[in-house]
Amino acid sequence: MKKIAYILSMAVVFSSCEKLVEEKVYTSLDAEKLYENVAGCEAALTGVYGELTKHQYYGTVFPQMAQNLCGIYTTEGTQIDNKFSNGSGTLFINWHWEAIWQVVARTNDVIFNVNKSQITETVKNRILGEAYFIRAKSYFDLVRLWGGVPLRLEPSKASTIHMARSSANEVYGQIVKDLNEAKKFLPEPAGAPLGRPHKYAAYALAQKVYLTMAGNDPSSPNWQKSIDDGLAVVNSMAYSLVRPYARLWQLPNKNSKEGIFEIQGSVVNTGDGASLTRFFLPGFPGSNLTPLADTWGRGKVNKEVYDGHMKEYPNDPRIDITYLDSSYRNRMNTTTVSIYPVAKTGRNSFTFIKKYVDPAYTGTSSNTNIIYMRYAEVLLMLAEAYNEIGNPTQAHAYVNLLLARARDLNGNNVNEPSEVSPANWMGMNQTVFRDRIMKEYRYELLGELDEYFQVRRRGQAYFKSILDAHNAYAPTILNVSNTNGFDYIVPTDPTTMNKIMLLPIPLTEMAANNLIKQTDQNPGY
Amino acid sequence: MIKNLSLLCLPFHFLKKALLSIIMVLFFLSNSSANTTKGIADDILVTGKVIDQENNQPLSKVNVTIKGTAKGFTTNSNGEFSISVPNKKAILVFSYIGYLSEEIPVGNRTEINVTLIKDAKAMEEVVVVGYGELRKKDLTGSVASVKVDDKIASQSASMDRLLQGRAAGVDVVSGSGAPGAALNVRIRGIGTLTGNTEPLYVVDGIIMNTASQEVRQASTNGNYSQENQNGLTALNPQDIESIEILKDASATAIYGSRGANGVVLITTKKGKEGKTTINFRSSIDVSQVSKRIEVLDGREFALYDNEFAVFQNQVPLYAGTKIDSIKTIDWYDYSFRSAVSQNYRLSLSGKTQKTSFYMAGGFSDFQGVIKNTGLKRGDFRINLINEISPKLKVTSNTSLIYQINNWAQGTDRLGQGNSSMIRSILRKSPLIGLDTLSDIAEDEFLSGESPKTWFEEFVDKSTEFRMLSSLTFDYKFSKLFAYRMVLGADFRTKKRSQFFGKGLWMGMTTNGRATYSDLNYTSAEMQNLLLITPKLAKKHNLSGTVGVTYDNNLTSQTSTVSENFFTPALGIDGFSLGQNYYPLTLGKSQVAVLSALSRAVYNYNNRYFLTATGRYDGSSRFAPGNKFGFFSSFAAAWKISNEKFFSSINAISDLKLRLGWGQTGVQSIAPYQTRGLYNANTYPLPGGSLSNGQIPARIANEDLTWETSEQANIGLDLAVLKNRVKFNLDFYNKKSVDLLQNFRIAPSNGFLSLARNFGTIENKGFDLMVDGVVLENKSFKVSVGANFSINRNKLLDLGLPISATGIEKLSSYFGSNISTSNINVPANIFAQGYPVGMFWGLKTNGIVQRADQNLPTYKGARLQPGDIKFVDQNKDGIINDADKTFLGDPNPAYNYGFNTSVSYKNIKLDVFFTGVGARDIVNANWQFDGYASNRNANIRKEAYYQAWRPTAESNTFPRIGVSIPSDLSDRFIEDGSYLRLSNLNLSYLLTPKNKRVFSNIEFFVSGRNLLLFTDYKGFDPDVNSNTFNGSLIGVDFNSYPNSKSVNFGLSANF
Repeated sequence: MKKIAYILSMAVVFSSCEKLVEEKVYTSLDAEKLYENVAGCEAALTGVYGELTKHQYYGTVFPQMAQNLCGIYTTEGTQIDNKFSNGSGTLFINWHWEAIWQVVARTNDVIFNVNKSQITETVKNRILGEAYFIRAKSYFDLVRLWGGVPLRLEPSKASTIHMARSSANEVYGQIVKDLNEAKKFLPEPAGAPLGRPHKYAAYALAQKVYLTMAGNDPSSPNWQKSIDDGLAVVNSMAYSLVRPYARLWQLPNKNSKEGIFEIQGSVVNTGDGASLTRFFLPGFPGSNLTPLADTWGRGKVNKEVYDGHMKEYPNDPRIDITYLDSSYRNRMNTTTVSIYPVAKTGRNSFTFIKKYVDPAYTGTSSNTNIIYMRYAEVLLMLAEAYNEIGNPTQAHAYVNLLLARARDLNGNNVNEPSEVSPANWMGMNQTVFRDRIMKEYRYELLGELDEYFQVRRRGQAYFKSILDAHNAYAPTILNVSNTNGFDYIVPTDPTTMNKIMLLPIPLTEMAANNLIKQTDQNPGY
Repeated sequence: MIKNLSLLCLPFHFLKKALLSIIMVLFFLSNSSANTTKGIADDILVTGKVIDQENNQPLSKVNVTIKGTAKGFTTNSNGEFSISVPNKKAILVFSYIGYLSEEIPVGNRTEINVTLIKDAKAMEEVVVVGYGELRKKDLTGSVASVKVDDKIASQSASMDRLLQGRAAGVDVVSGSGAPGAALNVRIRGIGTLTGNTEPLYVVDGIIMNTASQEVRQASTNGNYSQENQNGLTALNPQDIESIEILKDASATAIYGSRGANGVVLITTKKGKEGKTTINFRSSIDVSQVSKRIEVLDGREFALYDNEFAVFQNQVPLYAGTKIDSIKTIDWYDYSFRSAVSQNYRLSLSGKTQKTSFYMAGGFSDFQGVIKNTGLKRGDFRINLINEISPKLKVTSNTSLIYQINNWAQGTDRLGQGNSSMIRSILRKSPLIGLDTLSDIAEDEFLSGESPKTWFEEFVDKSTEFRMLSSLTFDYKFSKLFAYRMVLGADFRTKKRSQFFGKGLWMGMTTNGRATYSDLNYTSAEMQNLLLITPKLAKKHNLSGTVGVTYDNNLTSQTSTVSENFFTPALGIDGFSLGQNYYPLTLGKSQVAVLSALSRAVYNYNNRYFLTATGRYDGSSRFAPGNKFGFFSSFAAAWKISNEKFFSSINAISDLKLRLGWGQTGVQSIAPYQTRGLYNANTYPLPGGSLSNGQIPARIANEDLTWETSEQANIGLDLAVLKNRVKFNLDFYNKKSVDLLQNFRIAPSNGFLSLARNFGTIENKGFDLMVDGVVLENKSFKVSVGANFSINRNKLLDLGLPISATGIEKLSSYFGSNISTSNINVPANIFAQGYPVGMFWGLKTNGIVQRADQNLPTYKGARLQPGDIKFVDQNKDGIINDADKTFLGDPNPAYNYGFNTSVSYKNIKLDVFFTGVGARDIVNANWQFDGYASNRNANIRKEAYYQAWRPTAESNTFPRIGVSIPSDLSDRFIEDGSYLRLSNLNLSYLLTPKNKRVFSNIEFFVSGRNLLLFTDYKGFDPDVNSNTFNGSLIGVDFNSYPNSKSVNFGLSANF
């Protein structure tokens, strides 16, 4: 009895003793404190951007995955199989899925909490606008990579951990909705901090979203929607083309007037720092372009891509800026390494992408930015869309704006007699224009991580034509059976083609999300 | 006898043989009963000496009386006595507190030397059970005691190593063979999914629950990891007097929410009655790597390279006579050494009238068998007890320790030669320049990544200071009440730094890299206990403890990295020479536990025993509303041997049946899981500097609460032949419910896990311990001990949907990936209905012999001759995840250990074996050394000689040039059963006649790990490379190899 009485009395004492076992927090903030003032809300928004530069996202995984699976690069990284045998357990696919969703969750957290916050309206609107912009970008990437996905628009709770896939159309609907919010909330260019999107970034992204939604359907109303948003961008005069083309890739010129959205790089963003320098410049031995540390050289351009560009525009100044070809000095400057087109077979018979040279590259990070979108693409998309709606005049006009910049070697914006290639387009019919404009994206934007989407956006037959071009161009393929080999015949049978338009929903999602069943998996996985 | 006992090693025959042994013992003893002689005479002067049977030391103040008279005498400080007896019929009675009395008829002798044996009953009278002591006879729970032999203790850096094989139901697995490496201790199986299976360690009543505590991984490069250091190295095993392991819930429930993994109670040495003794102990230990993995030697490697060249359509480099001019190096000889370890320790102990003291200090240097590695430690302890008054006693225990640990880079996520030192030793080409083919100087040839660069350009060093201190006041109010207050403190500061020079891949890609991380831990504990012994009627005995305890600890950790060194000259000390800094991160967390506890122990007439405990715990880890929980236990015992009807059974001296049931909890989940907090990250500003961001750290789960373990235990204690042979047998069924899990949630939530309570694990099994004195007479003693345990582990409920997983339909989740290298897949699956952490992957069926269009494809390519022949389980023509299935079980089916101690006069031999049965290991090292796939890397001899060749088909190893499949297959699963001769110890006690300098010296020679019986092909089957990682269990991945050693030493008492 005594004991029971004691315990009971202790229970009474204890309830007033909760203070003794209060959980004290020292080095972390909770939502209430974080979103209390402007600086805190800004930090939460910065947190969203910080997630983009992680190893699992732009740091390594997305570049590698996108290059491996687009058919115009060869990589020696073994994490993704170039021959499309990846399954729902492929680590890099899982990681990328996780990384995008982490960005979505962070934007949800910002939108949810900033809305409740008492900070000044202007700042609040800008933060919300950026968060909607990033969320739209994330869902846009998700829907293109995986098709319909769960629509998570609020911070997850223990009670909402399971969620079914929405249809791709619903996801696109949400993207448009978010971009409308972003258009509404984001400031005019003058009100936006450098390196952050302003109002017209949202229009540009919307232009691209509509263009993607139009797919390969000439009668889609989305072509016109895309044009409308594209024109809003052009007419805003918010962006302009950097001249010459080479200047775009000189480090002091990052965040130029051409950049619509750039993911910021800095050597001091160590560890996780996203770096295409590491990914695209030749590795082991590295080149003297990165004297401090070796790079990886995982993204190597296929021969037909380089040769195609050379053949189409032999004197295109963009070639010299885009490709590292023929040879390079190794990092210690002791030997010369021959590469394509000098080396025609074997491991070195490829060119590299030269857009991301940074001598200060440290081994994990560099100062180069990753340009998610730039104004050149706005012009190309306008040209493409005008061509589809049967307005060749506008179509030619917009692509020629870009070609004029490309051949303007000295960047004086004057068309000099020596600047002939690439020449202006004239009098192409709709089909030829369509074929050429799709290639033009590649020449202009090679190595800017959009190829994965570009090759799929017009459907399976178009993607197959890209792969067929590669397979037809591979007389030097060695050791086909060796997965660590140097070049590949890519399978293009109907089963594979049906499968590779989308990635598999990762096993980690399937196994933990009660509302996504095996029958909901993407075709072929 | 010995032959019979050695059969004990065969666990299947264990019981049978144990019975046989008992019969043998009975037989033996019946022959050895003493004969007495009779004689008649007058006053005789008898002299002699009394010594302690246990350590052959003289016993002073022993009462020597003549039976039936008041005449008596006591022995002097040398244990000597002289007494005159009336006649030969006189019987001398030797008695001493705590020892069995001896009655010896004088007979014709004038010199009688007596060896007194400690009274087992008196000795075991009191058992430390947590918040007090219990008389052993009152014990109703399952408690195993482990005696610590100083000779073995001094060879061990941490006390948890001493538990290996010593107690039934305790499974100890090493993280690696490195000095100071962490161990996984599991009591009665894996009962939790948090990964933290470590029991609660309590030193002299104060919680030291930090075996798994380590500094942060400073590196943000996900491929790099540093080996876990053992948190228990801060307690010198030589200071330990005894260890009690509380196994069942009726014993551990007094520890409430912290006792579910079992409790290890450590009692340090105290000063003993008698004159001050000074002990000096010194030993030198020479150890060598216990096993080599045979890779190709230089000539073989050149042949291999030639063959590879042909495969690659190239000209062989070492053709013809060129092979005779190669220069080679044996990287084993280069990297391993005969490590010489030293241990010196001086201790003083004794007791004056009211004060007893134990003081000890010393220095140990444990050298690792790999160059540059080791643990150096200096420590000091002072334990004092002062009886201020008959009512008030003060006890103070304090230890200070400082240690420096130098590590190898063994297991890491990438695991290749350029990221693991251990791998580099095995992998590096043994060719070091060619006299005729190349003019590259040897030095230059070695300048790339190799063991040489690892030893010259890599440092991983930790330093630690720790103080454990406690102060206890015992105040006796009356016969009924005693009050005890305990104040305890634990201060720990630890720093760890790594440096990678430019010759190593990590340093090369970052232009030199240094990491720094530190840990500051302070813990304070207070206990207020009331010990009550109420007076009840005769034969009714009741005692109880009630109390309130509070403990509060604060952990603070910082870490940072520096890169881009313009000179590596200063190594880790030149941290600030780096030109790129990672921001310093600081993490600080606090955990507080407030508890009320009570225990009542009742017995009726020493036959029927009841124990009830209850503990009410409040923990800061949980949200308001869920902070408090109640844990209780009930146990009963029936001492059958005290029943009247039993008194006629002489062979059995003690028989006790125990039944217990109770609940304990687990709260070992990181703090702050119930709160939505934010972590920092960074994002560059356009100017290049960084801005700080904040991101949500988790999905908060306010409903989080304790994981509860319910355990029922039935035990039997049996002692026969006057307590000379003892058995303890326990059957248990332990069910852990509401498992605390970092529950894998759909990544689309933006988080990978959510801390929550869900699921059930069951552990069922039995523990058997046998101890016996087989033979004993004046000069000869043989004793044996053995333990054996079986545990069956099963995940009963996981709360995940059933989905098609490989060829099975399972509710399951996978663990984390083995490596980021070739085998970039998980090893373990956690599946409902199966043991925790089963291995998962592809089955194989030898090697593909002939080309066949019907063979399945793997990673897009059809299997070709010489490839590993994976089994296409679903016959769809494609080898992929859908063909995966269970491959093995990392949980041991049984553990055992046995020891024999033989002493003859002053010579003593101790032999100790330990073993594990039916445990599978993923030997992940095969992905590097088991395939002839990389021309630049060395491989195992058999992978070369038994490789499939078009001209010599083989069904064991794939072809030369094969690419390494990136899936786990049954080729990696090995039987990790073993039987090990853990210790062999021979000692000689020298007692000089002239005792002016010292009273005795013991010399000993001791062998550790001299014999190992196993089929395991890695370095050692006692391995779990990822200690404390609950999602990667039972994998051997570049772990530091084990060593064997011979130890010489002496222990002198002054």
